[in-house]
Amino acid sequence: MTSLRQYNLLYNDTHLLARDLSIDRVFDVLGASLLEHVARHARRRLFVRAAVVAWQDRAIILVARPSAGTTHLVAGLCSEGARPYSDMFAALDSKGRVHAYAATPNGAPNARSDAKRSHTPLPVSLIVDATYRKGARWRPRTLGPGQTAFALLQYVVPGRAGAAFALRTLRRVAERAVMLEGNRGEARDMTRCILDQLDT
Amino acid sequence: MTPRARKQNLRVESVAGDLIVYDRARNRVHRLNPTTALVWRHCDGHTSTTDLTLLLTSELGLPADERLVWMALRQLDKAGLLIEHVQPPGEAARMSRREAIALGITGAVALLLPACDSATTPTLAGGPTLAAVDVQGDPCKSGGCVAEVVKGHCACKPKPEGCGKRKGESGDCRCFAVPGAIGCNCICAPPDDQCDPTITVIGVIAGLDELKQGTVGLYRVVGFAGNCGTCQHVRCKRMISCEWEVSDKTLARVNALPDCKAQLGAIRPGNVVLTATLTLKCTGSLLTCSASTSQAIIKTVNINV
Repeated sequence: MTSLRQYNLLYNDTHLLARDLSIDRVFDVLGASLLEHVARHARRRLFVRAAVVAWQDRAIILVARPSAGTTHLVAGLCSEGARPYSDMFAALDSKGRVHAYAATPNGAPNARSDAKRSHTPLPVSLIVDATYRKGARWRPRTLGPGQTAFALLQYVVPGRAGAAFALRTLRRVAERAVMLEGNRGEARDMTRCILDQLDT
Repeated sequence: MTPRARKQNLRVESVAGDLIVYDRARNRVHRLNPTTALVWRHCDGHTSTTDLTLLLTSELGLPADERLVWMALRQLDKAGLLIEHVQPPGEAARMSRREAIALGITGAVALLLPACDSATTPTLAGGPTLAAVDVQGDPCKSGGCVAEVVKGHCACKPKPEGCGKRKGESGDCRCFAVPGAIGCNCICAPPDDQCDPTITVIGVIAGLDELKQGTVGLYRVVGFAGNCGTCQHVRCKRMISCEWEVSDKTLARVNALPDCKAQLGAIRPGNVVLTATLTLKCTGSLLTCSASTSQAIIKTVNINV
């Protein structure tokens, strides 16, 4: 018999989601798959691919653009006192408020620590779409409400709620929040700028 | 010329003067600035380009230059938001943004130059797509199998006769949707004499046909020790199934996973045959997961949302 290796396989029906020697990595994929599944099937929430932190009863949405380094940004904001609200998705309700969803400082779901905090739905005050470029300085441009809604639409998870709900919800968010877009350097150099933006 | 706006398969939302238009047929989204939006709204098949020019002047204070209307109409045509293609009467009717600025359309007025941004977007409609494409809009490839779109993803239709063996291969060949690939692939299981009796297979089955009102999804995690399903003659050494529901009211998290993980992680080659069922059900505002074997409840976990 040939030498054997213990593979762990993860399927969704006949859809192979993961195949790895490490069972931990397979469970990570399962966890992410379940979160994605909830996002696609929720009727009363609109899910946007983004991380969310809370700052003084307001929410900051960090759009999850590839190579944005969102994790570093979240960590930087949390070190300044922001509270993590979500790692993968901004869960928006029909009033345009964001709800906490599966977030911890290290990104792993943790019900026990979340249970000790109050995670009430928060109005969105700031949306940040930052692309990491080594050596860049954070000089963002401010998007108008229409541009904000347009930009966010591209990060929406297709869900059961449908297009009308998605557009209405994003309109409510866009009319109240400020969206900043631009290149950034190291997270530590821009986190204070982001929080100062909220305080002004 | 009296252009006509397309209205079918579109969802429109006004956001602070801009129009956000979602095109369901093409999975595209467009942002029309106030000028282009004004032109589009009045493309009713009766309003001429001359009338549209006067409208831009009276409503937005733009210069009375028909080329601005044609700029908007070309953008709308390119976005697929007009019923018929439009053709400006001549080169004289074309005006670039640079030419517009050279005419003195600067500052705040320049912001009103017709503008239309467009992008591809995932399907928002929630219904079946028009073609066999996945949520990114890419076609599903068959790869020797039969591809179809299931719930926005490429999936493979079962092929009872199998998908055929490649040269040098033996054993069972089946169609699988391979991650990273768009569509199906024909994957052959190793021959029986090369079966790995210690593979742990975690199957996640989304029983969406069994959804109850208000639930989001049903996941069943089944762990096998033994190469069951691919190498038929190998007997399952141990089987555990973890099953739980998640509700969109609570946006349940996968905190129950560690229990399942601990059970499955304890499986070792050569374990005594044992069958246990671990059922985790989370509903309501307070998630209560109860884990039970076939004989008795062994654990209850309360999770606050």
